[in-house]
Amino acid sequence: MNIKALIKSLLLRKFTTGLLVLQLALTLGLIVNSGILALDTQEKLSQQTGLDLDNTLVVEMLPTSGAYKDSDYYRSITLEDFAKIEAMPGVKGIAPSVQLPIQHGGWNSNVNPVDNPEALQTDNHLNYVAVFYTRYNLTEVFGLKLLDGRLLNENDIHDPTNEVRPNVVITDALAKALYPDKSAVGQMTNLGLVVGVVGNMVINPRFGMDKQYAMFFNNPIYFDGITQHYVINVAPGMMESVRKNVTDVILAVQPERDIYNIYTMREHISNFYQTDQGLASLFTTLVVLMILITAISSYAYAQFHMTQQTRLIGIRRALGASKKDILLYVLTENWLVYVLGCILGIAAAIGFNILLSQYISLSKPSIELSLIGIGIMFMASTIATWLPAKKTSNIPPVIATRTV
Amino acid sequence: MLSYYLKLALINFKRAPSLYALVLLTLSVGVGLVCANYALISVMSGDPIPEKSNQLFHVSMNTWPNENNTHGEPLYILRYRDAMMIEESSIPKHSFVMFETSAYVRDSASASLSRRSGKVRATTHGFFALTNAPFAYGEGFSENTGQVVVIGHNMNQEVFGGGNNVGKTLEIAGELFTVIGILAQWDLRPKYYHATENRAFDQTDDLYIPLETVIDQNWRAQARTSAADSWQHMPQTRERNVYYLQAWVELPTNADKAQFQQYLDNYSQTLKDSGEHPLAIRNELNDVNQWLAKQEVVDDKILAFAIATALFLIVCVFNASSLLLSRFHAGKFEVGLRRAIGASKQQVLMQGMIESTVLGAVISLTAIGLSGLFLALSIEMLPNLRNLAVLNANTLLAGVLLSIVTANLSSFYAIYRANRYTISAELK
Amino acid sequence: MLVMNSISRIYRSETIQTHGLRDFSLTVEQGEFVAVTGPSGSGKSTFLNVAGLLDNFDQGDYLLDGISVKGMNDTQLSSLRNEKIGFIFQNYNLIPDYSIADNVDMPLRYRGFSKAERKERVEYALEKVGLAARLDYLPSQLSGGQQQRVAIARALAGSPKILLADEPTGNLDSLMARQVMELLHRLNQDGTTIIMVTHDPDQAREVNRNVQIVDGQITDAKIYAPVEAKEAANA
Repeated sequence: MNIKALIKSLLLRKFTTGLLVLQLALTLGLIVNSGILALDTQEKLSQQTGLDLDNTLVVEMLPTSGAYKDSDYYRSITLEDFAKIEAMPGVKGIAPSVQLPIQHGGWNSNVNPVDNPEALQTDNHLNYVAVFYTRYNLTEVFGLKLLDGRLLNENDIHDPTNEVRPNVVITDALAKALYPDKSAVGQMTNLGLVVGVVGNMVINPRFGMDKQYAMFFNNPIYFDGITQHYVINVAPGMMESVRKNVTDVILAVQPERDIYNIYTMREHISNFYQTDQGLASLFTTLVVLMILITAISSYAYAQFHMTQQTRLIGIRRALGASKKDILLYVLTENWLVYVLGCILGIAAAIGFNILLSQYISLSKPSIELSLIGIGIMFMASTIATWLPAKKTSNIPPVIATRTV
Repeated sequence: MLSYYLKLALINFKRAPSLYALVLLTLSVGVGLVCANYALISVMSGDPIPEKSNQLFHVSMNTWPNENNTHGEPLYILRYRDAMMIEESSIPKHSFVMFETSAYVRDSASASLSRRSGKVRATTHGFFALTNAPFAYGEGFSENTGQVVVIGHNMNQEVFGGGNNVGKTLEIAGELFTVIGILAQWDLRPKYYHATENRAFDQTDDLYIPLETVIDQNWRAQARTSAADSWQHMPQTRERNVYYLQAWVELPTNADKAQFQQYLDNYSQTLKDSGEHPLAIRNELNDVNQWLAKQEVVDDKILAFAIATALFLIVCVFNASSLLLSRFHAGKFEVGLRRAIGASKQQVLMQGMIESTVLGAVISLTAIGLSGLFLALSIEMLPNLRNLAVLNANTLLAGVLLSIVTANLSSFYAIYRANRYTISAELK
Repeated sequence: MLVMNSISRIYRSETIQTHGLRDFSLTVEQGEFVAVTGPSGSGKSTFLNVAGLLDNFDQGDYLLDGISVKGMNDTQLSSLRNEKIGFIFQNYNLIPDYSIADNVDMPLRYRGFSKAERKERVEYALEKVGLAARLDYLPSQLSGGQQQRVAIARALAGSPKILLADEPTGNLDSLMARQVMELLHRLNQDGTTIIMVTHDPDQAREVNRNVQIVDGQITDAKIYAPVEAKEAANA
């Protein structure tokens, strides 16, 4: 195979060759970056949360009747709900909560050791500690391990009208942030006395595990205008039936509630990343279209070449080139263009990555992804060239002797 | 001559129908995608109230009572007494302070006890005049108290089945309210008056209720609330340092704006003098478009995708260019002949451009169809965009122009080459 | 009608310069029928291209029908070409998927004639070449000689001052070639000036003036000039 002659023939068609090279490059750039987006999203979805995602069910609801403005009434109905739900087969525990881990916004407060308000200045995250006003058992329902001290119990009553600070449980990350040198148990914070430390869970996925600050109170909120979340810990394998029946159980206690959402924590997280997934899907759609367009171009390039060079190819055949030689000749030409496209494509991938990162956060291009992208392009462009190459190889040698 | 060129264009299309179909498909997909994206961006970056967007100002203040304000910026939410200070001023032509909440609603005359969830705008009475809210029936309230409600078009349809229902009674969160006004369909994109917390593309509200009434009924704000004091009931927020109200003022002239800015700064100064304002005095007035820009209502993900679609369109143009170039190679003899019998370069160029423009016009039809499809696909994948997937006249026009431009761009090199050939080289 | 004065046409490549025409002078009067001969590569084609305003020249003057074409822009040259010159090619150069009428109509379009006038001229031109009945035929339905007659009709349709023919019978057998030559003679008798490049010495002898080009210059204008010689003898 005469590469020099090939390059010469490519140069004769500078314009179309250049266009195809650029197309290949841009396509590779998009493939690589779409791959990055898809992988990034996958990584977010599969990150460690510290929670038992598949066995935790959440029921979102709001009371629809004015009667719930009376918080004593609200409380009594809720307690009856709990009793009925706990009696359902498969339910291991239930707790109400005004917020969930991994959500936009939420209930936050500043937390600091009573004797050290300066901590707020040194660690800004302490100004946004997630506060869970809930039943004493939420940490158990979430499956968080006790690391130090004890869990809350029914006797850890928190009366907001009372000046006495309540007992609280905090996450390990918060304990280490507040009291780096000693056990947090027995220490007094501005919001309460720490009686126990539990394992971490992801509250805000933008931060690392060591910044997942949360504090738990035995003080469920009974405000009628605020979405109530029932968090239910379900025994493995029982999710289906609990999910199906829980609405009826709750409405049987009192019907004037709007249960507008039921989901597992797994679904909650995938919902949270819905826009990431959506964007990755949009990019993937675009990649498919772009590969298609580029394949059409590769096809047209080879096809055009064939019609232009019919006579020359006939002469080659007449001079003894086999069909295979011609096939290989056309394919090699395509591969040469493709190699140029890939070299430029790596640059395009990096450039595109920088451009995109002005708007969204995404990882840097990796060698593995680039290789996969190059592989996909190789297949697409070779398949697209195959048909015209095959046709070209079928040009009969007799063409050479015909006058055009 | 135009009709002759058009005839030639049609003959050319007929000569290589599959090639032109391929060009059509390629460019339609490219333009369609870009258009769908443009539709989203143009709605997101649109001016929701062009008649006076530069006269309406959102008010942010820096009145946080502790020194450890970690917010950095002045707060966009205000406490009750700051908000009332704004309401009391006679400088703005109109003003309102408000917060968002929700409640369950039923027609009190209905036999059914089932209730619908409704989004509530608890606001002072200036809301309607400032926002030019479109009334279908009745009017807004003129006091900030009372058991009265203005309902949105959708709520009117859902609860009453439409029509004039002014004077009827609604049960809202267990209380009875008289309907005094019903709005017409109101698509406000972006919903500038509540653009924070990613709500700029929520639908307009279902229920508009006087602010003091809502506070008295203890319906909590369902939007950002920051408190420096502890509190249990909404009426307590009137005295305490609880920040949850957003304020808008209408200041028709620059002088009004300067005067009002001074008014705010004077207020902050009196607080400072009495030791209640530990932070720097920073009161900000942002007009509608400044405010929307500050809230970054244009979704970054869509901007990122816009870059990708633009690159895609470039690839489509490249593809079409090389396809059309092969078309030129087939037809260069004819160009040579036309030149020999007296067609000038301009005439040949004109013929090429008219052909491209006809092609572009056809492309624009399929492209607009496809962009509707892509828009539907975008919403499928990004449901949070549901409310902004609209193909407005602007987008359609842009689609037609873009189609014609890309078609011309794609054939540009072929036409250029055709014109550069020595005429005689092609003829024997 | 056509006056060329010391025309030079130089082709430059990166390394060499070749003269297509060198200090070339020729005058053709109204109503003449001129045969241009010469070996391959002598500059015949260059002469025809320059004369037909398809190619420009580097030095000298060229007056076509009294108009100096030097320094004209493309639009001016194109309209001059359209108005004054009719081309006849060896390969006819008809557009295969246009009807005979549309082929003949082509130059008239660029002249901006009205629809009625175009129709009249197309019919008249086709009548002149004896193909008036074949308006709606496609070129492929005609014989080579007929196709060349269509091409001549196309050249005539705009009533040009001068016909430039490049080997007009090169692709035709002798019978058809004869018919085409007779047609050209008839046109010439009607007053059309014709310049014809040809390889065929017999054809050259038929016409009233011969020009031979060698190496970009006219060598001996009378080399094949028996017609003129006969006339001189008769005189």
